[in-house]
Amino acid sequence: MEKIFIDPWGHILKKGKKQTGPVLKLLGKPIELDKEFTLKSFFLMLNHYPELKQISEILDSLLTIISGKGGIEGKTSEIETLVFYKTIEIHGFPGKPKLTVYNSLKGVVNKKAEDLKFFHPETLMDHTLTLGKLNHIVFGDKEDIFRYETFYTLFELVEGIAWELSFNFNPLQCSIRR
Amino acid sequence: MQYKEVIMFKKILFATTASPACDAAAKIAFELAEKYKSELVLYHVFGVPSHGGGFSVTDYVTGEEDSVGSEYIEFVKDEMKTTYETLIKKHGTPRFETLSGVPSTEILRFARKEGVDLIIMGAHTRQDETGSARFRGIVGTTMQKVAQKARCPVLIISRPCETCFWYFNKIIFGTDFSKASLAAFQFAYKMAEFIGCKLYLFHALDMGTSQAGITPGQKSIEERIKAAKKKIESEYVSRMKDFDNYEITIWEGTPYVELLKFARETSGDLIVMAHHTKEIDPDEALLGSTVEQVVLRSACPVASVNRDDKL
Repeated sequence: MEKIFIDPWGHILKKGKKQTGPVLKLLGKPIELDKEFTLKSFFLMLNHYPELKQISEILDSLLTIISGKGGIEGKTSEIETLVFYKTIEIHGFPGKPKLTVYNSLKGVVNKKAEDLKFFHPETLMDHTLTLGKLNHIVFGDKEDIFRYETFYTLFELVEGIAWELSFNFNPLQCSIRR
Repeated sequence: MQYKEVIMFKKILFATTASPACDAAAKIAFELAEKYKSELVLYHVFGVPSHGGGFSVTDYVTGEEDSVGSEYIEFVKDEMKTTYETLIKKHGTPRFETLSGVPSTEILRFARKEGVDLIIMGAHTRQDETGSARFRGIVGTTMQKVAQKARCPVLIISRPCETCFWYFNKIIFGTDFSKASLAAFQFAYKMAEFIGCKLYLFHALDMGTSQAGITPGQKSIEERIKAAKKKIESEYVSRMKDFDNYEITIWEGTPYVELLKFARETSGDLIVMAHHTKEIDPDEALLGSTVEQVVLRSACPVASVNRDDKL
């Protein structure tokens, strides 16, 4: 399937051409991110293509928070980079058989994924963001996760990041980590 | 700060799975009980009994099945004492109670029977990662059922907090002007007056429910804001006697998003709101109600109040 490319300034490129009009028709396209792509690039993309903000009611608020960040450092030293990845989880023994698929945005520290909900979004902006492999968890056994190459669509990226960052409404003076 | 010689909560029930998922809630339960000189009851309900009278549980630590007899109950009580050893040393020994049954039903039954003034719970029974589908749908959980039906306020703790409750000084009351919101207001006001802290009266104009899909214009929004402010004054401010440490704020947008933003901006310590008793349509269950969305994401504790029986 034809991929679209997103550059560090948040522009979407299709066949090498910068998209200037509405991009809703590209929501289902697989994406490739520039090596320099950061979380800030993601929000720049929302500014270039405002219709993408309609995907989640949280995005407008996050943009307001980030644009008013003042002198806050955009790169926390507690994580090295950000990774966006997909998980397929099979449940069913004991209990009803169930398969769930979800996307996550995590911080990476020493090759380990770190939960981001205790970080302020302002402090994550300048971290590079990469697309990770698909994690396959069978019957809840997180010790034995299979990893596969996969692709991500533009919709998955926007919806997934919006969901994860919707947990980051911590007051600035509250910086508790677990 | 001097507290009035009135007991705010005579009896606090901390409903716990006694697993790490409840650690943040445990800390606040112990601190609150000490602060308000309340009796603290740690209550743990084993899972649902099976058909035919047989009953076994799966221990969350070992993963092994065990039959529930008096020996097992004593074992669990001992485990709970060990789990909360540090908190017990710091704040005193609570009462331990365990029972088998459907957790939400038994918690509600126990609270009613014992005349509990406040129930404290963790928002989740598991430490799922936020991306998980389980995390996305909290409807149907014990917390949701208890918050919907409890006659007393339910304090839901989603995240660990070192500073929030012990010295909290900003209470945010979120209202949608429902009947249940009046009970939530009474709780928020009582707390604010008791502590002598600031009370924010907050309402979000739900722009997602504009009539016939027509987006309201600026004039119409301003009129609605004015009307909402007037309503807050007549429904709530008029009941506050000479208490004047309050502020009215009306924002427009999606209610749960605006409330979270407001809590962040004001560094709120406690959000108080109503959890409507209406059963949620299973088709809409994944979305949940405003209070559930707030509970899921809030950095500070959320008190869900539906009735004024215990206020």
